[in-house]
Amino acid sequence: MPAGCDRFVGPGGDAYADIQGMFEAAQPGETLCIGPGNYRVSDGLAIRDLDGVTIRGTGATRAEVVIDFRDIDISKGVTAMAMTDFTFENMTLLDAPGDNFFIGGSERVTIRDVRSGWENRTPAGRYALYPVESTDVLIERSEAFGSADAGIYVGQTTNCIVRDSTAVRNVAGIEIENSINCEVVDNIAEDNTGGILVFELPGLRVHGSGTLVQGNTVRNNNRENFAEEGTIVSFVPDGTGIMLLAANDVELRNNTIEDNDSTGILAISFATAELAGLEGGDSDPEFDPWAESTYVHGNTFGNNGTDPAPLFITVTSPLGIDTLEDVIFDGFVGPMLTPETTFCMQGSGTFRNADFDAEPGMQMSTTDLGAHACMIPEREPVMLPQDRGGV
Amino acid sequence: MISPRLGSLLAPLCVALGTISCAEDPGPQRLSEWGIFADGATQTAVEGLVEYELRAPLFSDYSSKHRFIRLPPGETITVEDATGRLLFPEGTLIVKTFGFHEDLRDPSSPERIVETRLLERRDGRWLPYVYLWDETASDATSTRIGARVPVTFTDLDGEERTFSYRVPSVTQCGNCHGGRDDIEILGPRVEQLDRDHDYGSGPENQLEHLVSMGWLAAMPTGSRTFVDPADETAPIDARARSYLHANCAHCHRDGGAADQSGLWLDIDETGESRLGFCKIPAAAGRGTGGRSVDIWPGDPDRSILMFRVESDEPGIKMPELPAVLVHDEGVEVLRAWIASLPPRECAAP
Ligand code: HEC
Ligand code: HEC
Repeated sequence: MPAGCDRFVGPGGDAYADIQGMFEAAQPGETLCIGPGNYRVSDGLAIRDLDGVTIRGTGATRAEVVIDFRDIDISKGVTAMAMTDFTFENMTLLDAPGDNFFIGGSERVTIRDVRSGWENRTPAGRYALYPVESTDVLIERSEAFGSADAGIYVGQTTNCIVRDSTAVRNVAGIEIENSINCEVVDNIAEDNTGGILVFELPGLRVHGSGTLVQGNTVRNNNRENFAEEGTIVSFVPDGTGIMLLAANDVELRNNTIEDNDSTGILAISFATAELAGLEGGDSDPEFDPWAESTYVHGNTFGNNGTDPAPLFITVTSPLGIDTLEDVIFDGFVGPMLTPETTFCMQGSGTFRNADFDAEPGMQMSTTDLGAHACMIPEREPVMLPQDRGGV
Repeated sequence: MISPRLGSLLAPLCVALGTISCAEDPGPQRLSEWGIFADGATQTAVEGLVEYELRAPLFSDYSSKHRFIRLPPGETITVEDATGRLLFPEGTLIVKTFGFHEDLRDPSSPERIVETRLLERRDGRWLPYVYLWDETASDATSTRIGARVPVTFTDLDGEERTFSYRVPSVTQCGNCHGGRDDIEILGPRVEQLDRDHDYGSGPENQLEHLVSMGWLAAMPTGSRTFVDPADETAPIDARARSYLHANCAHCHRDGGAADQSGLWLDIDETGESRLGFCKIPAAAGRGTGGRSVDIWPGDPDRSILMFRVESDEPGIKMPELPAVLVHDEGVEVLRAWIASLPPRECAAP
């Protein structure tokens, strides 16, 4: 057994029986190891209600330990529920029908050096890395690819960091949804439909606020949207670098945002999404559809908005506009808010206050920042108890 | 029975062998060690176990079920007034066996006994166990990782069906019985038990029987909202809500495995949006079927909920577990219910 492991599974046996057997036997505090090899499991794996457990691939790189879910007939590849001080590292997860790796209701979760996505399944599954309703979640040095929804998705979670990771060829690269106090830093989001999303949706128990998106490279997110109709991300226009929907207290700073054909940053309230056909905003009386306190500053932009998606063109073409700016804001200022408490921008980047609501679309639109050339105090870094700091 | 001490002696051995499937205390390896059944094949329990049925049972891939309760001598059950849930004393054992009749149209057709699940109340918690029966149902063996069992039966339409039945792993018990929290009992609550069962001398109300045995101090009162979803004389709303509770709410509730979807289907839920009326999906992926809301009142075919219960495709199918067959009769109840709801436009103005 490799050093540092309390239990160990190697290749060659019944992959499901061996790995699930190890999970069933696991005791608090143990490190459960999986040796280099390809594990084509016959059923979904699950672990639950354990404290201080680490699941680790013992290969030299994550590519050496592959768990392949192509044969399973249940939605999720790995389900981890009610875990505390849980670490999952150094593995590759492939091809579950639904989600490759779901974590629910857990505290102090670290996902490190995990590559997760879809290679041999059409249509692809939904979420590659999928923690929800958890507290203190760290995802680092990981990669998500090929998801028909979001590659790295953090939902209804309090305190999270997604760092030094890569999201490619997904509908949404990285999505933070209805979460409180999160940070998306130093990632690469490339070749998705939308690179990084911060969304606030109705009908969910957690109401999100506070996301710092900093130091990311958000490039060439022009992939044609391949999400199932009816899903939220099916509304993300192709060519969107970063998209904020009804999100509160979001700071976008020091990102490099380039070659996104529709726009670099799209910041809208739920009302604008409803104009595009999204439903349900008024089904939840507790839902706040207005975006509040978005601060865009210090970003580097290049070559965005050169070929906007049809959704934009239908509203811009009556105005003779066929390219868009680096930053598009829908101009909605919610009740009780002012322009300065809704959206501020500083530094480089072209801007359009799009006013999608006007007839015909964007008639009142302006590229003048006006009152939005304001400032909002910067966010404090997110601190997680298990975090030793980025690399 | 493997004692906890013996279990912990075995554990280092498992580690030394560098292999798996030795839990610290996996419990008895054989079901017979529990001393529950006089005859496994007919599911005849020994004296001291009381069989029960539910008004609205869980559908599990058309399996038949046998449920029993054993209390430690002299102990009693109490009722949690607010919810009608039964609270069991330390040492209680609840038993649930799954089998398949050869022909679903004929309850007297031969029944193949497949698995038995146990929940044991110990140290203030429920401990789960699962056993797979041998071919002749002479005894069953512990299988903590679950199992797949090929099963064939004739369905209610007379069609032969073959599928791979899933015996859940012990971890999966927690998906339905636990969600985020400790394992909980799901079936026994006053309204669910308020029905007749034949204990050998003709039909008798189950709650009255428990009172007569001294297991319940007095006949409890409940709101009687549960009905048998198959009872065509009951109001469609009650049938559907009972069905959703029994088949969905263990995940779709506060703290359940589908809590994050925001769709809560507990019988006590009153919030329309929580119940899915005009509610957009949270994370349904391909599970939307191109539809926009969970329940479109008045229109089953625009409701994601119907799309998901009518599918047997993993990633789409609801319930997520048990994960194999569509429950045609349940689907009909839900369809009739959604169609009966006063029509409403869900789309934003
Ligand atoms: C798909 C969800 C699901 C899974 C998985 C599941 N159960 Fe259950 N179980 C239920 C529901 C719902 C009931 C109550 C309804 C019924 O008995 O029909 C129940 C009832 C029981 C009962 C009778 C007492 C009670 O809670 O009502 C026992 C014992 C039991 N389950 C044990 C287990 C064990 C052990 C496992 C894992 C090996 C398990 N169950 C897995 C849903 C599940
Ligand atoms: C074993 C757990 C489990 C059971 C049982 C279950 N579900 Fe689900 N359900 C989930 C999970 C997890 C999700 C969220 C992820 C997804 O959408 O697939 C979900 C999502 C859904 C959604 C989409 C909700 C939304 O707004 O996003 C619908 C509709 C649904 N379930 C219907 C049902 C119905 C109807 C039943 C009972 C007949 C049922 N489910 C039983 C686990 C379960």
